[in-house]
Amino acid sequence: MNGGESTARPSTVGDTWMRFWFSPAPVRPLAIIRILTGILGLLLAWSYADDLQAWFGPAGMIPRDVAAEWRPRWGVSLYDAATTSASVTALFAATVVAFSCLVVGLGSRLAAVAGAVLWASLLHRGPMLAGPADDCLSVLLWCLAVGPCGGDLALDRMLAARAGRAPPAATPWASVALGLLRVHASAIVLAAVLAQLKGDAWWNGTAAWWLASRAGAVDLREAYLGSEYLMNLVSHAIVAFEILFAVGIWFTPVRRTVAAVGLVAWPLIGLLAGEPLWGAAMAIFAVAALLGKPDTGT
Amino acid sequence: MARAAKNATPRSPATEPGEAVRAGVTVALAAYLVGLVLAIATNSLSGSSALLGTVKSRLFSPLLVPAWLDLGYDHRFTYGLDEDADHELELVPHGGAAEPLQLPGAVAGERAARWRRLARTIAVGGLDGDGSPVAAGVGRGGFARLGTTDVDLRVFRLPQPERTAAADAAAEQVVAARIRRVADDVQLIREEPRGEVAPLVRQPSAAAEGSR
Repeated sequence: MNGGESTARPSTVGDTWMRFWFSPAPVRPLAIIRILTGILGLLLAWSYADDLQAWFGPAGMIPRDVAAEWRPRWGVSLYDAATTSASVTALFAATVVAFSCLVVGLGSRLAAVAGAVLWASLLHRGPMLAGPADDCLSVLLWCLAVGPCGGDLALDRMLAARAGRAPPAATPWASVALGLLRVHASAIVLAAVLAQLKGDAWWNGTAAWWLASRAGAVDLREAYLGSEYLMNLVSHAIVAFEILFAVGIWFTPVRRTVAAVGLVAWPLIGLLAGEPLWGAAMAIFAVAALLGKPDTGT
Repeated sequence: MARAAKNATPRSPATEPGEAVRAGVTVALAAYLVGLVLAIATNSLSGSSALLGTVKSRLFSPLLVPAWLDLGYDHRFTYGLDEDADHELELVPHGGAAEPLQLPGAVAGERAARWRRLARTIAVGGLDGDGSPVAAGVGRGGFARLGTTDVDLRVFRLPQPERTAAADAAAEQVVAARIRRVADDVQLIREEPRGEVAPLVRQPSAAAEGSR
């Protein structure tokens, strides 16, 4: 049972599983994702700020009973207990503080858990207002809560260094968090592709036209009027890239290339689709695939 | 190399989880991944099977739903259908000639997108379906903003002209309702399209005329 025999042994599913989830990974990638997620959280929270009372205040347009009726069974919200304007504002302010703590890395893991709980509460308070970027932020926050996201590029790290504590080594918990991020990146994109391919527009190449008609999207209709092929190319390129990303991030030889392309492609797709913050969220998932540990066993 | 190694910041030793912890995390991860697959399978636009729906709701929903993780991620963006068009809201005091409150109005970005999702919920749900309570809630919220207890709510679907069609088309009104407070109750009165409420008057046929 020497080392040579051990390395020559064919890799089993169990080995691959253990290597993927538990081989130690550095904490810096998770720290970068923490900062980007915090910024995304602040941007999405900002979109609620001006209308917070108009929607969720005591005389708001989305009364608590309507939200409770709309959300699925088991859906709960801390905002259900917020019956005054001040309490609604306080809960929202706590959400903003949690996201700010993620950006600077103060109490990072606690901030990730608090941010995830408060964000889910906000979305459950008005489920009909939630969009694709909100879903992705929720996933990012829960994944950050799993790993040591404050181990680098953080005030937590500075305070620990001042107290004489050495920076954390590579850890399996970072590996679990980065692994979950990659699994979700693939799952989210595959689900989106499957949904898109149920519609004719994504097969006959007119989807780009309809996307350009949406408010908030980059209006390329003039260009598409000039060239039907361009419109078809953009429609098919979106689907092709999504499939490439969902599959490619699982193959070591192309993973970093696909993820690097994703850093540019996702924001572009977000702009074309009129969902720029969704594009930004997907780019954060691409960062996880780009910076994640290389030895996945695939 | 030696100097680099000497100057490198010492790292705290990695804390390797024990076998029991790894086993526990493995079980938790496997269970979560099954939940993720079920969430995607049961939140699809195509509906879900009773089997998968039951398994998910019994085993996974109590954890996934509160965390906002029971999601289908079916981000299709558009099929080019009417319901994929942008929707906007308008609130105005009933019968009055006051300036309507238009939402999202002049605001842009994600904030405007949230107002459009709210308007779409009312329109696509329809006033006979799930959109009714939302419409009533929006109208109720409009009381304070408009300084009245009787408002008209309208939802407009913005034009989505075909690539081959003329570009200039008007927004289509898809929902119209009156929402008012009477005593402590909020009433929603749907405004039927004119064709649905107008009495149908048949032209008398020649035979009927002759029999008289």
